[in-house]
Amino acid sequence: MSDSPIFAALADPMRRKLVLNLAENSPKTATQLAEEYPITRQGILKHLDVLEAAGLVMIQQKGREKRYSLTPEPLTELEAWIKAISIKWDERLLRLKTFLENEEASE
Amino acid sequence: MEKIKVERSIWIAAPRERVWQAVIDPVQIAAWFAPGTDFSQKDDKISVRIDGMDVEVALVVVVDPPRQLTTRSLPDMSLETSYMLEEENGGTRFTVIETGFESLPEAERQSRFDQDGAGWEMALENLNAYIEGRTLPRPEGF
Repeated sequence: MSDSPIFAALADPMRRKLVLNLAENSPKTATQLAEEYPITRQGILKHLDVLEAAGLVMIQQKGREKRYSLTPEPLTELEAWIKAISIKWDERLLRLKTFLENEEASE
Repeated sequence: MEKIKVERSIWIAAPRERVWQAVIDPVQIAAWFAPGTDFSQKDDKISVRIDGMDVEVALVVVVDPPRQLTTRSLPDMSLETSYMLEEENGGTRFTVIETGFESLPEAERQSRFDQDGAGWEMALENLNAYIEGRTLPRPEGF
C-alpha cells in the first residue's frame, strides 16, 4: 500500500468520475466513455492509463477495441487506510476529552 | 466519488473557550495530539522538535477563536485539517475534518506515520486488533 499510486490516481476529479462510471457499468471502451464527457478519447485514454497503473482498472482486448472494467480491490485497501486514520483521530479526541474532563472534575 | 475526507467528532464536558485553549496551546496540544512530543509555534507555523531540531509540520491558515482552527501540512501543503468547536448541551462538540490525502506525496504520507512513531504496518496491526476487539498491540502507534 505504501508504494501504491492509488492516491495520485484518485487525486483527479475526472478519474474519480471514471471510477464511479465503471463501478456502475463495466466494461466500457474509451470511445464509449468519451461520448459521456466533454473530453477527447485521447484524454480519456490518458486517465485510464493512470487508473490501470494504480490497479483500479483491468483491460480486455476485444477485437480492435480495449474494454475497461473496474477492479475494486485497491479501493478496499484505501478504505482500510482511511479507517486507520479515523481510529487515530478517535484516539486523539478521546485523549482530549479525558484530559479536559479530568481537569474540570479536579477543579 | 467525492474527495477522500476523514471526519471525526466527540462531545466534551468543558466550555468551548477551554477546549479552544487545548487546541492552540502547544504544550496542551501534546497532551492529546501526540503525548511526549514537543510542539512549538512561531508566527503561523507549528513545529515539532525532532532530534534537537524544530521541524515545521503545519501552517495555520484559519484562526477564528473559539470556533475554528485550520492547518495545512508542511512542507507539501497537501493535507488540510480543520478543528471545529461548537457549543452543545452545556459542553463542546469538537469535530476534526481532514482532506487532501490524494495529493499528499507518497514519501510524505509514509513519513507522516513514522513521525508519530507509527508506520502504516503498525496502524494496520492496531486496526485489525480494534476490529477484532483485542488489546491494541501497538499503542504507541497512536
